[in-house]
Amino acid sequence: MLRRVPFPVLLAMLVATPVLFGVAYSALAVLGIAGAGASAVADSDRLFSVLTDRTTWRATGWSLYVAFSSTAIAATAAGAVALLFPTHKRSDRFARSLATLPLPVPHLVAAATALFVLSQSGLLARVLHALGLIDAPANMPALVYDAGGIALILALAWKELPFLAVVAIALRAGIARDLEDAARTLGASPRTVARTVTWPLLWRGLFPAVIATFVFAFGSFESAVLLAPIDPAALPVLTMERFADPLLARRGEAYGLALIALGVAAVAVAAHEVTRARWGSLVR
Amino acid sequence: MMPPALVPQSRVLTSPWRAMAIAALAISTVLPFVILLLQSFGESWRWPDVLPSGLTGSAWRAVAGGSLGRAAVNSAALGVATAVAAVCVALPVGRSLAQLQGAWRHVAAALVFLPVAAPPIALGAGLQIVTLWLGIASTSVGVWFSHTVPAIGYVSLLFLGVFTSRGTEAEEAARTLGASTWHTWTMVVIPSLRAPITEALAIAFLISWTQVALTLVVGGGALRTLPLEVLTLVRAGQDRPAAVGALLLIVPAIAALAALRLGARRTDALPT
Amino acid sequence: MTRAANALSVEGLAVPFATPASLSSTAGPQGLHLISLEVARGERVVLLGPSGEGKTSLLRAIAGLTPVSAGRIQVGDLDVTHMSAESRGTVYLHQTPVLFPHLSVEANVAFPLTIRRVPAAERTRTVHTLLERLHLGELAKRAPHTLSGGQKHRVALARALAAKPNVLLLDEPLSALDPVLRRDVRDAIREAHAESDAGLLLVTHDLDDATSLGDRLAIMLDRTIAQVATAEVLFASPVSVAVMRFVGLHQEFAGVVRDAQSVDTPLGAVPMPRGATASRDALSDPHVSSLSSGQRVVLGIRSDAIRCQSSAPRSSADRRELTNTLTLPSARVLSISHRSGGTTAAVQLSDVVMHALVDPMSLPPIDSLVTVHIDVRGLIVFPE
Repeated sequence: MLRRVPFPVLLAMLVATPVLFGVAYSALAVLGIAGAGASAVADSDRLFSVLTDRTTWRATGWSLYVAFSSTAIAATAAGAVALLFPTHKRSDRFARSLATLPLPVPHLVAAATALFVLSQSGLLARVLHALGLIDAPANMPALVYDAGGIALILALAWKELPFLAVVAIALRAGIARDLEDAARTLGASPRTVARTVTWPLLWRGLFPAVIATFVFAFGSFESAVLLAPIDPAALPVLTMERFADPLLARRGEAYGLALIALGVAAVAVAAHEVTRARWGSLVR
Repeated sequence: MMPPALVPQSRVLTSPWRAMAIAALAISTVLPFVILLLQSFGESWRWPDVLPSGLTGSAWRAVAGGSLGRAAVNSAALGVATAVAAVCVALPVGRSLAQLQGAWRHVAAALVFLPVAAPPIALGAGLQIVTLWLGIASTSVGVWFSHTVPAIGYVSLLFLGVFTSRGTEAEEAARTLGASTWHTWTMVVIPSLRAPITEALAIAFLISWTQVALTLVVGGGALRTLPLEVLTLVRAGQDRPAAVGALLLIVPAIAALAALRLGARRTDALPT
Repeated sequence: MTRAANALSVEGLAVPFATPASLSSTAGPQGLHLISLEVARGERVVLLGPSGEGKTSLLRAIAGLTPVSAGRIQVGDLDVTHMSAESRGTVYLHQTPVLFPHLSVEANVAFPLTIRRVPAAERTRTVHTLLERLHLGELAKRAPHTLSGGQKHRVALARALAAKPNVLLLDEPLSALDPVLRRDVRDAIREAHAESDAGLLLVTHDLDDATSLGDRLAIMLDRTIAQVATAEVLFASPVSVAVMRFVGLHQEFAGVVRDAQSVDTPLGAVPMPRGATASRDALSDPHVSSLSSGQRVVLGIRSDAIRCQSSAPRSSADRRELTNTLTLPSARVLSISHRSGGTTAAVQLSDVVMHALVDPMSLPPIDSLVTVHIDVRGLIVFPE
């Protein structure tokens, strides 16, 4: 069977080994066969307790919600930047530079800054106080550690925007001017061209990158640890807590959580590859 | 009189809205940096002051010789080691993957993408065991090893893209002109890859430089990196040194931006 | 309202060449100038000229994709000079067909109807008719990237017709194609246009394509239109040496005017071509009346007016047959070349080399002597 697999695929498998190994080990650990307190007999108790624990699904759901919201905001903004500022004019170039400048800023810095700005005694609260809108930090609506995850969503969106904007701008530039000219001479107004040609091509091309940023936001530990509430917990934070739990059984549960996270990542990877194969060639 | 030039109008938005959009972008981009600067120099910034009442360079002066300084050196060394290792592995891997066609190509690309996409905490769970077996858990080498895993995945994808778009014509030409494998690589492939290699080094460095979860899980606190230090400071409410650390984290990142710009025209890139 | 007879009239148009840096520059030496051209309804006019003359710029200017700096463009009854591209009733087709990659063949063809909010039933009917006309019926659901080059051209043509244009503008549709595909696309263009009363303006740099597709040819030289005429008129009476050279049908010799009846050339004295000058008079060429004795001229001889045959003693009957013919002294055969247009011999006559049609069934041997006959109706003279 292995003999039929081309050599380069085996190389790729080697690169993926740590993940594949992690999956295998996590599966064994959550069944109690490997890891601390392991026994020779598989035991479904830990698996059962992970799967039936409401906390598990609340955390998974909440992390998905945060990743989805932040990615939706960032993708919309990135698409808007590419569509609204496409030319060589100075103002357009300036707008594009602004959108892409924070590209290499780490998640951690984005999250820390969000904390400085959006916390109840942060800069935003101070500005609102100066404007007479609130009189004490407690009156500031909670954006940090709140169940809505507003600060976390904004921090992740801020971090994702530059990357998605870079891709969207490259795509926008790659949409041949000829295509838009063709649509114009067939009777489409600039708005119609944007709606029927440019945007449909742009979002299809952007989709793989959107999936990639989604899965990065989903897995971002440091942003969640700084900005997410305790309940519902973010999945990466909950996993980390379980790893450090003094109870051995709870540590085993961490592997169950890791498996869920890896499952989400695997689906995203497959979707990334499928959308790239399907739409990647529409825009060069 | 000359009629107005008929430049086809492609504007989708009228100018007041454009101006507002640009202003919003400017605020969102610039404000965080301003805040970090203020925070790092601010002295006694009490509620409800919008600006700090005084400025001090104490946190910056404490960097050299302090824990932030040591952590930055650790992180830089770790980043360089990760970048070099990742590029050395990923270059031949990417080259090899580029030869695949059809479904296998997608399978291979997905496999390579896995360590990049896997949530670091979950990836760390597996890597912790591997490093335990290898006897490098909770050591600097173990942390370096864990950083190279996602870096290799990312950079392999980058080289896969590069080798796919450039084809093998130049190599074939070199071969038919009588070049050996060695000469083909040293005189044709690598020199012509200077830009993507620079880009790959920068990205791999950044992956390591900004890594938190893997360092924490695999290193178990044995290696204090800059992001770990910053995370601790922020959580402890030590805003001034935390802001200094955050700015230190951005500096090489911004420097690497120049290299990343090279890849800005590729649409199959991945976020860091 | 009566319909204008012309689908397109262009008057005194100037088009600056659109280098990105100088979009606003006026049409000076860097652009097209004084372009005037008319295309009747249902007529096919081919714009012919060497590369770099701005043929594409002219087409794009007519389509509204490139700014113009002077002049006037009228489509049907409508002055469209200052109208946007989408409201002109012109459709511009790129050299390589530009199909919308995210839309199926069907949806591509339907695009002009969709954006005009044509009801679905009518839209389906129109699309179906167009797909059938261009033999695309079976490809309706396919994605553009799965089509062959010729099929893409057909889709682009069908889509253009769906917009019901007054004018179809085709930019070098044939130049990047291999010979078989070329014929296919040429047929597609004819079929597409056959049932439409749109004017068609097509750019090419190939004379064969031009003559096979165009009712009239417009020759573009020095960034303006040098002559617009049917192929017959163009071949018989090019208006200038430049047009004659571009068309390439004539062989050129230097000459000096001897008198009103003849011109001295290296081939000997040849009769002054009356017919040609008369037709040029009609075109009011400023040079025509100024030929005087001793003036240097360029003599053009249509290549298909030059024949040669192995030298043989002539009977008097032969002489009588050749009333319009000038017979030259014996020439030596240098080489023979075989082309699709006919077999020719390169012959040397004193120090001049010319190419003459030969009977491929009785080729003269190399180095043999032949007699060259020139049909004097194929002569044309221009002041140097």
